[in-house]
Amino acid sequence: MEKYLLQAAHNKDFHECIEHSFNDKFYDWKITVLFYIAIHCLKALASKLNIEIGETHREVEKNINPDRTPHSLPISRAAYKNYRDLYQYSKTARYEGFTDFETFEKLKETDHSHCLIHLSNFQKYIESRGVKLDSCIL
Amino acid sequence: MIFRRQKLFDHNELYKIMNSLKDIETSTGQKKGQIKAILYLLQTNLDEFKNEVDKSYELLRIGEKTDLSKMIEETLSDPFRSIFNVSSKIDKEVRDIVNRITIGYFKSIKKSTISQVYQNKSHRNDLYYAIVLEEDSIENRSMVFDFFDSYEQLDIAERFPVFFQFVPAELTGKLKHMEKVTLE
Repeated sequence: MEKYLLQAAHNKDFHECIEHSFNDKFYDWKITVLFYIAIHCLKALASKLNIEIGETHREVEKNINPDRTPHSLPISRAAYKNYRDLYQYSKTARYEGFTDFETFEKLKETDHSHCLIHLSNFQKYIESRGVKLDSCIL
Repeated sequence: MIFRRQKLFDHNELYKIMNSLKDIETSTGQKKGQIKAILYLLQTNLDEFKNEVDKSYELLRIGEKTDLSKMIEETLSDPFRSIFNVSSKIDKEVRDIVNRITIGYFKSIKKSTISQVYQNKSHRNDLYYAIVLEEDSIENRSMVFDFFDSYEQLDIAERFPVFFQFVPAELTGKLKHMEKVTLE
């Protein structure tokens, strides 16, 4: 479990670093980092419970989605939606070419603000399952 | 000759078609009616194809090539290109089906949630939509995520990925290479 918490904390530090140094830039990368923080928090929970949830996104999704069976670590529907939304934002984060760059940054800035809410909710859920995330909370 | 030509519109045939349509409407004979209707369509298509083959055969004897003859010739001279063309055609059809299903979903939730949708004009396998919400809220975004999450769970999603971006109405003028989808 510790190694996942360290990775989550590492990513959180990186997010803080780019937020501090580039407050109004690189939202695509910030979104990607937020999703990776969520993954590592989730893997920390799986590790604590000694449950295998897989490596690829599809494997993880199958194992945590409460509406899918069989699943090894179903999480609450609300938590799943927070995780899923972070995944969708990160998937689209680097998909560019349909606007000018300035507009792209504006769109990603809004997406980033939504991602911060989703990650905060998701981390609260992980903590409610007994994983201490002190060093990983944004 | 492999196929014997069928009489298409004799009384017995019409009677059978009418019966097929009636069967479709009844729950007990629904499957039987559907099978009959599909067989009838196959029969019609095969008959048309047979005519095309006959015509191609006759014209080839006097040195003329129809589209069918040219297609066979191309397949014989370059089979890999032919397979590639078939594969591309199937990809395009599947992409169109995914697009239609997605737009169908947008239409179904339009009134309460979605104001406008734009889609990419590219011919790549992936689909990209810019979505303008009536009100940009986590709840409304979540409704759209629900649909794409269901799609992601299908194996087809890996080959035909769908991307979407929420866009405020005032920024739609900045979209490039995209066309507005009619939701009415």
